[in-house]
Amino acid sequence: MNGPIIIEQKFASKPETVWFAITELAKMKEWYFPELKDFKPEVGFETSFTVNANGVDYPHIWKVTVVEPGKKLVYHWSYDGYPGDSFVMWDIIPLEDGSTKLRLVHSGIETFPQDNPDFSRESCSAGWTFFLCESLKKYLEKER
Amino acid sequence: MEKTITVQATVSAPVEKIWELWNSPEHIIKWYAASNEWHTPKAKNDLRTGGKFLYRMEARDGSVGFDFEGTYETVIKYVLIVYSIADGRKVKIYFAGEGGETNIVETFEAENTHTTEQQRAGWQAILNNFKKYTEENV
Repeated sequence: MNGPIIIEQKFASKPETVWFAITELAKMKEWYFPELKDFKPEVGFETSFTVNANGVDYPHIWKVTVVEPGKKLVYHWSYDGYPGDSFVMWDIIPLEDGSTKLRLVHSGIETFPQDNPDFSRESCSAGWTFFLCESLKKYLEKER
Repeated sequence: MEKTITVQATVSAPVEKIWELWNSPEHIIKWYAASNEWHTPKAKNDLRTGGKFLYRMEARDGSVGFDFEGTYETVIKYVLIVYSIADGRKVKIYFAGEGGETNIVETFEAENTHTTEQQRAGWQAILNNFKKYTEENV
């Protein structure tokens, strides 16, 4: 199975609230990566931060490539010291009742070293499910 | 902010097929043309982040030709391609497949030589040519 990971989650929050949760540093640190040092939803913005997983330090490098304010955000996602070329795309989809659907697409996971279980599809998929369906959901409920 | 123009087509083919025909040089040379007077005799395509493409476009009578070149910034398989043309203008192509059909939406930054209408018509003609070629080859 080589396709991207796609996860969709509905939130009771308004679309702009969800947009700010995925693009503002202070909010992202709360539900996503506390290690994050900086973030700007601007094409060309680049940031790096290290996350420890299972006792190993993984230096993340993000580079923003597409921004459609309030609607779409894409960043290139790679790890310093590891081969691999992946993209994370966020789509904000307003629903008729004023709530919001968030779609995440993570493509290119198969380009990371597949002999490392931390990079496996299962591990990534579990990580995203936690971020969207638990962590962000709880964060947005608290914010309401 | 540059002025952007959008063209769109719904093609009766699954997105996997669309992706292959859109990106493989052996197919590109068959569909990449805005009219019967033009063709693309040569195409190179390195479809990955930072990769480059070059389509050689020529009038069929050989009177005029140019290279259409760019660099890929975002490649999300079956979903999204973003590249910048050699002159710096950005192009985004969204693919959305559903039930054997694929909607293609292409937005590009306008240049200043031709009118907006001419540019839209030219890009739409190429997209229509892709639709025709793909639907004949599914």
